[in-house]
Amino acid sequence: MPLCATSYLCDVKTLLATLSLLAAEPTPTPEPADTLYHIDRVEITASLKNEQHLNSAVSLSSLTMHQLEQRGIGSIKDISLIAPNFYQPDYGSSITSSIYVRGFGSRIDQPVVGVVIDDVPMMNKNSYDFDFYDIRRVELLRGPQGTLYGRNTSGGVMNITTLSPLAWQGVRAMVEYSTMTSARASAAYYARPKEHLGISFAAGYNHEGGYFRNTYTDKMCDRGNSLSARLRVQWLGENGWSIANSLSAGYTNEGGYAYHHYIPQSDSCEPIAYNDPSGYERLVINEGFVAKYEGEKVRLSSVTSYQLLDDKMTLDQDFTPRSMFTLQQMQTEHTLTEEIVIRNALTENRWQWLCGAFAFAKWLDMSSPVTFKRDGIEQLILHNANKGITSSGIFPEGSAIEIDANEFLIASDFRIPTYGIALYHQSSVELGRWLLSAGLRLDFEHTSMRYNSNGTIPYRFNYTMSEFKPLYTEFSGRERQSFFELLPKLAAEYRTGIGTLYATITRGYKAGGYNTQIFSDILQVKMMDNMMNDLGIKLNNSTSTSYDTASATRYKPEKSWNFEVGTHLRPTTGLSIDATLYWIECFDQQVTVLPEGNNTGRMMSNAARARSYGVELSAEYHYKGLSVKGDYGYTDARFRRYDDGTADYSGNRLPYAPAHTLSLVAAYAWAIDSGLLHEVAIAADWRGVGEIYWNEANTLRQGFYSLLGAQLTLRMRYVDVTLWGRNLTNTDYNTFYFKSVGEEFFAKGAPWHCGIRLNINL
Amino acid sequence: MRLIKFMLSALCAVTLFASCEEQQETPTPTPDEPTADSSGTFSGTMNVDQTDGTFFTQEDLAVEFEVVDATTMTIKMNQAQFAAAMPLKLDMTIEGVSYTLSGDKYTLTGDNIVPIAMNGPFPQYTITALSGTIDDKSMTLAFNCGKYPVEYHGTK
Repeated sequence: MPLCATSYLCDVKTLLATLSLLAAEPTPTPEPADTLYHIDRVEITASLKNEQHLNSAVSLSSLTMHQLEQRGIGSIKDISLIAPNFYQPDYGSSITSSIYVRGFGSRIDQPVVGVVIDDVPMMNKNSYDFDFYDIRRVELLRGPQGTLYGRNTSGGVMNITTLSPLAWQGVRAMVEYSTMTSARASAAYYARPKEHLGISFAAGYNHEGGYFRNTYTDKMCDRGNSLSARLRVQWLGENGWSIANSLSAGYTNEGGYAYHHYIPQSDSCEPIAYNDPSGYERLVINEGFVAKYEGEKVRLSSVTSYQLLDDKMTLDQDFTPRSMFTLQQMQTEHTLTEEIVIRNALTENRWQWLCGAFAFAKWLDMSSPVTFKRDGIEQLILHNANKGITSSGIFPEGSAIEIDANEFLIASDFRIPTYGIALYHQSSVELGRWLLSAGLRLDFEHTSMRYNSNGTIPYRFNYTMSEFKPLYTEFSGRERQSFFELLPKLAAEYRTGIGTLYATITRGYKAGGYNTQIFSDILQVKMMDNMMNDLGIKLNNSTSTSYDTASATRYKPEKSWNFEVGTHLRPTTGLSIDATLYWIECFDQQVTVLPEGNNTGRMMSNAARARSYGVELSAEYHYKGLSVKGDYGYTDARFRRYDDGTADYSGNRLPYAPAHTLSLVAAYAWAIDSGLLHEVAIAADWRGVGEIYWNEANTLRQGFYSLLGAQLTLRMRYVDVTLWGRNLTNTDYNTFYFKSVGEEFFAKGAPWHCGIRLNINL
Repeated sequence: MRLIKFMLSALCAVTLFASCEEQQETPTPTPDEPTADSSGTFSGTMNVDQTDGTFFTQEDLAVEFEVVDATTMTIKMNQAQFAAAMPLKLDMTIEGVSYTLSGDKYTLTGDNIVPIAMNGPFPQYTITALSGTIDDKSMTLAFNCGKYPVEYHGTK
């Protein structure tokens, strides 16, 4: 539907009527709009929780729809660095959405940042990475948000709001092609068939041609395709009731894992070369139902969701041309959530309060079979087993344990149900220029894990056994654990004529869980023990992982205290400045541990105590067609105590999190009064990050590097044409480092690329 | 004590025989059961002559025996180590050890017995010149394991 002058006036009235019902706080008067982007200037606050932070004591960065498209943000990982001390590197797969905030993050398991899409909290970080289109707004709250959002928000919360059919009606479409033979396309229809009813349907397709070639297969290893769709229905009832339903589904089938073998002696990386297929396939379905009531005295919201995650990760886990071992991790998770929030109506009352209850239940079935192939059998199994035998001198030459298989399987199956319930309250009292807030959340979670890991090896000791003997080993049982946490928050805010000063004390909480990825290691150890017992021998100096008990598969919650002072200043029209100083003390820090030796797994352990302090600065200026935005963050995050048994890392910097983040965006738009062309806009985007240490010993690091992007947009009545480029200086940088079976690997960032995009708004 | 038991049992046997003296179907008298245990485990010290003038000693070595039939038994050494340089301990089973029983004492002999270890025969360490005794308190063994003379003395 064209936003022509006459029809648009009606639409604006409708929009304003809608907003008056939806808006939780007084909003700026929307300016006359002639494009879709102008609705960004109107706040539609759907969640009663979200409005609590508006103009309040929190570090907040936000991106409007216009800014998202200006920066060409196509996924959650493209948001990295848009806020100070917010870093989300691309580790090479959609399954990995590691986010680092203020020095803390996690490579596996529980995240430090929660993601909320249209009021629905995503309960599994494997579904964080999805295709962005028609995203209306992204808000990033930094620092622990545990009081209102609970578990796994110790680094912050990202609130993502999609375009509402009540806010805009028409047809949107986008097609894009880039030099890396990547293509994106999306189309959406937003309709308001009745005054109180809005319906939208959006669908998107994304093809990644890949940046990196696997020289072993001579194919791009990070090719992929994804499809997604979203159906949204919103209804504004009488008497203050409104309901909204959002159903979305996404399917991804991609390669990935572009890992270069690192040679420490020459400090260089080899070309990517691995022989076994690797990739990731995922189906996500999210259904969210929101009911709201706006009364004269109280307001109420209920958010109910069902989330399905069904995915399969396939890995050549040694990432070499050798046939060592492969992993498949298949999981199906069903999640139900319910959250009810009650708060008082927006009045002149100086006491604002909010009460909430949240409950969730997750059922996770996971299967993680590890297949040991011939080279892996030789190096990982037989090498260890025969080490003491062939060198003993007590057996004739040539005596050795043999395995009669080119590959064998270690199967690991898990059933992990998790239940949680939380009650929370937050109150704010206005005393003159002061706004004092306090909140508390009681959070209880119970989780259990049934596990069964087993495998059969056909083996013999060739000096004494003429026949191979199948040897079955099983490790099964059940683990349970419960967590109870109190998550308080204290905040004081002082309002001046040009902005606010604030101070907060908050507590962060990252849930505990289970190390499912260490089970193949445990079973390897038990298989070895079983074989030695069957042979009646015991090696005097056997080396094996010490993580061989079920209790080692558990890890506890990580907790932190965050102390913060900051300011939000609006000294003059068009200029905003935000600054924050923070100090975080982290207890029972969850650290990814790689067992020593030729082990294949990794595990989370509450092994460290850490602290972080730093500064964050943001400034944004708009003047006519010019907009400039800068964000800088500095973090000094170090271990206070961490000794993994082989070395003491106390005082060292936390690995994987950058010390500096920097983002500068400058854009200028010329309004052109011609029949066809309405506007020409240029934008330059410079992002820098580093240094990043890759290990606890701080012996490997990525120095500070920067990425330059630019784009030119020709804006016409219905069509925008954008030419864009990223990493224009072709910076060579690393995004990820890890060890596997004693070898070291790096993942590199995307090289320079450019593309053309066509946006259609009808 | 055992002598008293023997005399009592002999007395009972005589009494039974006397009471059934006039019966036609006289039960066949069963031979006296050996009074020695038919199996047992000992813990002790093994000395292995390294044939270079040195000896290797393993303390707390558990050795089991089990009578198989009227003339042979099996001896099993659990987690035995025969030299300091040997990087592993192993279970070794010596089957077909001949014995004679005198009272509660077994006297053992054996020669050219291929021991069983690691799920199969171990000809490199064929047992020769085996001798020893087992009673209800102790076990003493002496044999050559391959070329290495071995002595063991254990108690219950």
